[in-house]
Amino acid sequence: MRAFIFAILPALLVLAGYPGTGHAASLAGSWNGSGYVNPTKGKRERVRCRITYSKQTSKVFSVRASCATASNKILQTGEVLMVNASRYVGDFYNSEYDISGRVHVSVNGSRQTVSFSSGRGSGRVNLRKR
Amino acid sequence: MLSNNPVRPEAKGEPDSRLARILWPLIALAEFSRLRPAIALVAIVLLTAIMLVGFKWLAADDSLESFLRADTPGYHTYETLRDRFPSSDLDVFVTAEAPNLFTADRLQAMQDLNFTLLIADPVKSVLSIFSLKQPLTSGDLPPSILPEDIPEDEAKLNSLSQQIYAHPIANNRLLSSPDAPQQLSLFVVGLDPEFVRANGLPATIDLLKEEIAAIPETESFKIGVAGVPAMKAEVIVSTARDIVLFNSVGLLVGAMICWLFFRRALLVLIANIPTALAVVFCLGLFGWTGTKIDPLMNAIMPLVLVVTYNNAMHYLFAICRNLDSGLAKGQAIRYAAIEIGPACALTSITTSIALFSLMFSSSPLIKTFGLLAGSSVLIALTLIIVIMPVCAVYLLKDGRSYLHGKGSHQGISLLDRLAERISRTVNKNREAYVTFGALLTGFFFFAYFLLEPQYRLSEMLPDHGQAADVTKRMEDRLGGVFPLNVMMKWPTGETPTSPAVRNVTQSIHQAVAAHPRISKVSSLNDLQNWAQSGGLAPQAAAERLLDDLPPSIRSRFVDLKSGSAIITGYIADLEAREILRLSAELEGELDRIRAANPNFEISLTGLSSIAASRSTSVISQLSISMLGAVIVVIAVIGLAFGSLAMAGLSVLPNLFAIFATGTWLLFTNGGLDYATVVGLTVAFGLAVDDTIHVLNRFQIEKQTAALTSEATDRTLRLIGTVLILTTAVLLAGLSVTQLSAVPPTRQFGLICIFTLLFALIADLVILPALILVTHGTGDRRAARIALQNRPGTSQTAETIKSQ
Repeated sequence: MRAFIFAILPALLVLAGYPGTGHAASLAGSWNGSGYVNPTKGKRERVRCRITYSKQTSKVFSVRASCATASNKILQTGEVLMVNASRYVGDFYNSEYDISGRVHVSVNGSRQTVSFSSGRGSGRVNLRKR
Repeated sequence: MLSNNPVRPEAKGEPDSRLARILWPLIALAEFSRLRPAIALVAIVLLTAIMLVGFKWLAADDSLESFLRADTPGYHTYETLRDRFPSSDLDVFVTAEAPNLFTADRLQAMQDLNFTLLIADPVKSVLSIFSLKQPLTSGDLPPSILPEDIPEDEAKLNSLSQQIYAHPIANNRLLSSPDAPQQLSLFVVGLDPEFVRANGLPATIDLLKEEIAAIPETESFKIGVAGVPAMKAEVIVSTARDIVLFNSVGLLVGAMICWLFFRRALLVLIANIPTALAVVFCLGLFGWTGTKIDPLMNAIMPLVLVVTYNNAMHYLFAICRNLDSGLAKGQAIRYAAIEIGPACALTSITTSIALFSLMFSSSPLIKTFGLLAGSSVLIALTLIIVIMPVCAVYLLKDGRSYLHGKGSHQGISLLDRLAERISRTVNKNREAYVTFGALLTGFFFFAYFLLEPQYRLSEMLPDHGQAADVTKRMEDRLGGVFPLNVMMKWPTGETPTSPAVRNVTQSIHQAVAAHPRISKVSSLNDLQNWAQSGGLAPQAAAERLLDDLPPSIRSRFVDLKSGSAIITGYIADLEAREILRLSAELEGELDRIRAANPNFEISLTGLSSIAASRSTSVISQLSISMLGAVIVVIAVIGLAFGSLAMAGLSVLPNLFAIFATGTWLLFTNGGLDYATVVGLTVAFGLAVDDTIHVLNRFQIEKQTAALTSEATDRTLRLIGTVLILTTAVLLAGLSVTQLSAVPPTRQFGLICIFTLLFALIADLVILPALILVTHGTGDRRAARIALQNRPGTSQTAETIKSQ
C-alpha cells in the first residue's frame, strides 16, 4: 500500500499542477503590455514592451525584452530565476547603453508585472500573454 | 511544292558539307546516341538527377548590389559609406495618409503605430513626429512635443501642429504641408541588419506589414510601405515568382505552338523533352554554382527555352522530312544529324559568343550573366545532339509520314505556301529588295547611334508594386526621396562637437541645400540648430546633443569610431545624366569647402550617385562589346563555311535586325539602359541563327542545283517554314517576360522579340535577295551558254565566253 502511494505521488503532483512545473511552463512565450520608465535624467515616459521568455531549465528562463518609448527603442536581454510559483528575479543587460540592472517578475495567470531598476533609472510594466 | 514531292530514297545520298566536316565530333556524338540509345538515356537520367540536386540551393535576389559593384574608387567610397552608416541602406518608409492628421483620434492611432513599429523584432529605430522633442535646455532631457496623452482640445492640437511644423526635421520631411488635400506623415523605420541577414528582406518586410495590419486603429489611414528595402523585397519576390512563371508558361506556350503546326502529340513531346531538360540543367547550374537568380539572370531561362526549341524543331523537321521521303529510320536520323546538327552547333556557338562577350563588362552582374547564359546555351546544344536521336529511335517509326500524312496539319501547308510565295517575290524583285534593305539599314544605323545611355534607379525596381506607388505619393507630398550623400571625415584630434567640425558640417549642409534640384537636406546641423533654439550656446548644445541623442538616431548622422559625419540630400527620381550633372555642380561647391579645410576628407557618394556613374560606364562598355561580338560572329561564320562571301552575306541582314531594333528603341524609349543593351547582344546571338540555317541550307542545295535561283528557291521552301515556325515559338517563349513585374526583365524580352521579328524579315527577304544578286551573274552567263549551245544556234560557247 505504502509503495503504491509513493509510486503515484509524482503523477498526482503533476496532475494537481504543482507550481514548480505548471507556472514555469506558463511564463515561457511572448508577453505584451505597457507601463512607465523613470530615467534618472529626464521625465517619466510611457513605455510599451514585448517580452519573450525561453525556458532554459526548470527554474531558469532567458529573457529578451523589446521596449519602446515614444522616440526610442530599448533592447535588453537577461535571465530570471524562479523564486516561487509566482515570482521570478534576475538581471538584465542593455548593450546599446551598456547598463545592467535588476528585474522582478510577478505572475498571476495570464498577467504579469515586471519591475526593473538600474543606474540609469527604473520602471514597471504590466503585461498580458500573447 | 518541293515538300510535296519527296526525294526518292535511291536519289537521296548522304549529305555533305564543310560545316559537317569541321563539326564532326558533334555528329559522332549524335551517332553514338543513335547506335547506343540505352547508354545515352542512362547518362541523361543520371546527369538530370545531379542537376535536380542543385535545386535545393536556388535562391532569388535583387540585382542592385551586383550591378553597382566595381573595383573603382567611387564604389569603394560607397562601400565605406555603407560600413560607417549602415542605416543609409536599411531605411523603410512607412507612410500614413489622411485628409487631416491632427485630430485626437488620428494622432492616437499614429502613436500606436509608432510604438508597434518600435517594438517589432525587425526594427532597430523609428524616426517620426513622435521622436521630436522640445528644445534642449541646460536642465533635464526635454519631453516630446507630442505628449503621451493626446489632447482632445482643438486649440491645443493646433498649437502642437505649429510646434511640429516649426521643427527643422519635421516640415516637409516627416510631415507634408497641411495645404494639400491629403496629409502624409512619414515613419522612417531603420531595420535591424542582423535580423535582415538572418531572415532575408522579403520575410522582414512581410513581418513588418503584419505588425502594421494587426493595429485596428490604422484603418482610418491609408498606410503604405516604401523605401529601397521594401522595393528590393518586391524585386526578390517577383523574381522568385518569375522563375516558376517563365518556365511553366514558356514550356506550355511552346508546346501549344508545336501542337498547332505538328498536330501530333508525339512530335510535340519530342520537341519538348530536350527543352524541359535544358531548363532543368540551367537551374541546376545556378544551384550548383551558388548563383542567386536576379531579374537579369531570370532572363536566361526563356533564352535557353527558345534556343533549345529552335534547334529541336529544326532537328525534328529534318528527321521527319527524311522519314516522309521514304528513308529508313536509322538513315533518316543520321542524315538529319549531318544536315542540321552542324547548323544547330554553329547557331549555339555564335549565340554563346555573343553571350560570352558580356564577360568583358566591369559589372559582376553582367559578367556572371554572360558566363552562365553562354554555358547554358552550350549545355542545351549538347542535350539536343544527344536526346533527339534517342527520342527518334524509341518514339518514331519507319514507313510513317509525319509532316504530310493524314494527321498533319494545314498549318504546315500554309507556311509552305507562304514560303513559296516569298521565294517567288524575292526572285522577281531581288535588286529592289537588296537596295531597299541596304538603304533602310543605313537609315537605322544613323538612328541607332543617336541612342544614348540612360538609367533611372526606379526602373530597376518593380513598377506595379506597392512600394513604387507609395514612393510616388511621397515624392508628390515631401519632395525627393532618393538620397545623395556627402561623407565627411574629420582629422585626428577633432571631435564631432568641435567648432571646426560643426562649421564644415554646416558649410556642406548649406552647399547641398542651395542646389535647386535637392529638395531637402538632413544632417547633424539640423539637430544642432534645434538644440541651440532652446538658448544653449553652440558648444554646449553640441555636447548635449552627443550625450542625449539615442545611439540609434545618432548613428544616422555621425560615426564616432571612424570620425565621420554624413550629410544627406534628397532628390527626385532623376535620369542618370541629370544626376551626373547635379553631382558635377555639387563637386564644384565641395571643392571650395575642401580648399578651405584641407585636412577634412569630403566625398560625394550614395546610392543615386553611384548608380548613375556605374550605369553610364557599364552601358557604354556593353555597346562596344556588342559590336565586337558582331564582328567575331561574322568572322566565325566565314571560317565555318570556309567562305568570305558567306561572311559578307551575313552582315547586312544581321545589322538590319540590330539597327532596326535600336531605331524602334529610339522612337519609344529614347535611350539605352543596361537591360536593352544586354537584350540587343543576346537577340543578335539569336537572330544570327536564322542566317546560319539559311546559308547552311543554301550551301547544301547549291551542290545539286544548276542555278542559284533554284538553290535559293529550294532553300526558302525547305527552311522558310521552319524559320517562321521557330520564330513564332521564340516570340511566344520570350513573350512570357512581359508578365514580369520587374522592368529590366520585361525590357530584355521586348528587345529580343523585336530583334527576332526584324531578323526574320531580313533572313527571308534581304538575305535570299542578296544571294541572288551576288551569285546571279554566274546564273545569267550559264543561261546564255545553255541557250546558245542548243541545236540551231550559230554561236558556240567559246565564242560567247570571249565576249
